[in-house]
Amino acid sequence: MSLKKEIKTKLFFFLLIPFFSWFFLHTIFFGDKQKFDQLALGKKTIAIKNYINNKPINCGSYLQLEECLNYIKDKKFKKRILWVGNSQLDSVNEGNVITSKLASYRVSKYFYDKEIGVMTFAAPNISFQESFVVIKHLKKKIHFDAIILPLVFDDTREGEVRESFIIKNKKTPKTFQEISENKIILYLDKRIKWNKIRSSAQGKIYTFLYKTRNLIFRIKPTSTRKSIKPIFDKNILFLEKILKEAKESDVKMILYVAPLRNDIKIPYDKIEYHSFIRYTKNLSINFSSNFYNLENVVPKFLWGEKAGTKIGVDTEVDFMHFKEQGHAILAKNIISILDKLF
Amino acid sequence: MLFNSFTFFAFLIIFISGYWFLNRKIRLYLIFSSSLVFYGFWKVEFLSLILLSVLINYFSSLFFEKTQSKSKRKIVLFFSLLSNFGLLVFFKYYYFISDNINFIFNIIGSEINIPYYNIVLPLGISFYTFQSVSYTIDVFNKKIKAEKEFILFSNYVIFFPQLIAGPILRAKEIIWQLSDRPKFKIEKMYRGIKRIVFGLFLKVVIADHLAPIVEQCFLVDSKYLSIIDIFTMSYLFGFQIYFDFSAYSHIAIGLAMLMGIHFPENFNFPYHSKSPKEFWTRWHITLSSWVRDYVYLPMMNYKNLNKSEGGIGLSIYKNSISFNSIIILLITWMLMGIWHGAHWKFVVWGVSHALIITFYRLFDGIVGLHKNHWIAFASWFFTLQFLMLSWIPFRAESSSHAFQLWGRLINNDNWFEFGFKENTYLIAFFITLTYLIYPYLVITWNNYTKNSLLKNITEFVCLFFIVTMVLIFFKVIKQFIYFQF
Repeated sequence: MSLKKEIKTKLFFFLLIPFFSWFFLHTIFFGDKQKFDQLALGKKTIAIKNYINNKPINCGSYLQLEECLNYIKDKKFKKRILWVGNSQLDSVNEGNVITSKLASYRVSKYFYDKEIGVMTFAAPNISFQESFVVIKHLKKKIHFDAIILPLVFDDTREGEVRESFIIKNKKTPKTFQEISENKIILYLDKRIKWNKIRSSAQGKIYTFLYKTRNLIFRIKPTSTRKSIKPIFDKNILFLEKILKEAKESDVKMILYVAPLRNDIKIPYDKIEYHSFIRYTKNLSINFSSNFYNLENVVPKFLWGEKAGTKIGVDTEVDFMHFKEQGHAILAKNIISILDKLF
Repeated sequence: MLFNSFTFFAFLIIFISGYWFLNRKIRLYLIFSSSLVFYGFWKVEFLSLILLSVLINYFSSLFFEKTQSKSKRKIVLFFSLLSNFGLLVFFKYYYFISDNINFIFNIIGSEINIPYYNIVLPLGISFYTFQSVSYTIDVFNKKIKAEKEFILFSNYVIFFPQLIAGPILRAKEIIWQLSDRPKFKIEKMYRGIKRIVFGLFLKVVIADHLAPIVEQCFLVDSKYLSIIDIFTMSYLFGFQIYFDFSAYSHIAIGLAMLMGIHFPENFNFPYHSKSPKEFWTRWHITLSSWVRDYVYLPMMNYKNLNKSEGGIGLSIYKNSISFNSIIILLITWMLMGIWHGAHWKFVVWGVSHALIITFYRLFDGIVGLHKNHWIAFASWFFTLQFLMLSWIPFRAESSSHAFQLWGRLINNDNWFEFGFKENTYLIAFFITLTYLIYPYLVITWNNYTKNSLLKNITEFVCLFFIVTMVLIFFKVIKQFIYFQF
């Protein structure tokens, strides 16, 4: 084949690549819904949504927030409580999407008749910094009489505020570039599900990289996670801010050490973990908050396994999410705390 | 208009279709109008500024062509340079200058305060100013003839592939290519598209993913950072800025190829340099060549090389170290620094390069950097560390922040404590390793595979991977770092 002909053939095939590539992506990722930050769930642990009067009482993103606010804004309630935490609040090990009842549901249901509304905001690995952002945002919408905040040592390793926690005001496109770009994307979204397929593919790639890392470095759920000083300190600073603002606005703060699986070696440096508990307890005393240690309330038989986080590993031990009975126990504890306070 | 946008690709398809089918005159108007549309998509009001710059340089160069009187020519050159740099200084350095003057007045207890105005930095002003100025000086020095065709000269200044972030072109290299459209070659088209796709890959898959990690690193209070952390953040930013900027250059060169036009290369594996001097022959080559020809060589009383290749690092000025040469080096790199941004931190960056170049010159004179493989390897290793650490002022909030971070290298009790998440170190390590071995892998693979079918299959598998990644991660309206300069 002459050089010119060869190049022509190459160019022809090259120009076809984007179409092949998109066909490939479309075939694989259309309809795929797994999100990267819910990687730790799946298989045996599932996220659940519970409803009272057909209104959701727990939500996991700002997009769902309005629905939850619909519930809590009910004029029937004389007091309102906000419960902000990580995926432990809305996930059940070996649960059932339809029948399983979360701790937050049980608490909300119990207090519903007492005219106290309880709503939950749960996001995977939520840090104190992100909790602060959520509380600040919700406080602008409605007054809460109390805030429940679980203390999860693992989440103090999360240093940044995710994009999904930042409310972006819809900005009017100003330049020609922005106007045309918005129109093209809107068209592509409508015709070929441009963003949906891409975000699904992105999730799969991040998951693959995450699992490969765990495989290469032999990272397991039981591997010790050391605290990262600047991130830890920043989170503690935001916890202080939450407590300070609550005290100033006369909002009752309920801090509790989140239940942790303790039948096997915990995945933290024990000294760091216990000093975290001590420190947060002192903080809560300083800001006249209520501190409870619920670390051991869920017995070992109520913990299970979650989806594997390593290539070739199907399931792994789950330190964060317990079975439905565990939710019942947590709910019982929270109810008894709130009963004393209200 | 951003290269990494759908709007641009729609624009490009229309432009290229017209470009190859129109006659010379209409084609020149097509380039002109398309370049204005390209620029106007960002801010229409700044079109007048860029056209003003074109007019100043066009008429002053015509004047040089017609007038023989030395004094008149000098006066016109003075006013031409004054207006070119005046616009640049006003739009880019007004805040910087007024801040510093106000600061000095405050120190001496004066009440005078230079007012602040809401000045928007026009995109690409540093690039098109340098390009226009080089043309005017070359015409003044009779190195090239003034271009009489206004549309052709305008196209040289506002040619959209290089308008916003270079490469900085020279008139003698580009005007003839714009005037006489090179012959259509399918091979150039193929290579051009490949360069564009590769540039997009570097931008959207690598640089844009490094950006948030780098941001998090530089947000950490310096008191927490260990030596490992300082190196990690420097490496990450070093690669981010490299991939971001070289991506832009790849796309610009690829776009020119689609039009059959040759642009000079702007990067050549800069982090493989064995000395800081060599770095400046591999990094932002067209800028360092510009600085060489219009700042450094004139100050050293050497002849202008008048080409946008080579950078600063040619053997002609491998001179002995004198006080004079050190001062000139310092001035050159201070200017290089301040060109990048109106902030003292960029001056710190420039000066750090000048100092280390001086050190290497001395060292080279004593030891001989290329004496044997071990010295060459050590020289490369230490150069790489210096180059990466020198990026700190570039990314830091201020020069004092940069010094705080540098200070952690010598005043640190926690050498190996980690201040970032584990992934940050892994990514820094992985990207460094991949970057360093990449050229050797390509060379080895090319030498190994004699079978053209296997070569073609490999090429298509790689291209399929790259295109797929670009489609997945294509993020619209994420600016290139060098737009701010």
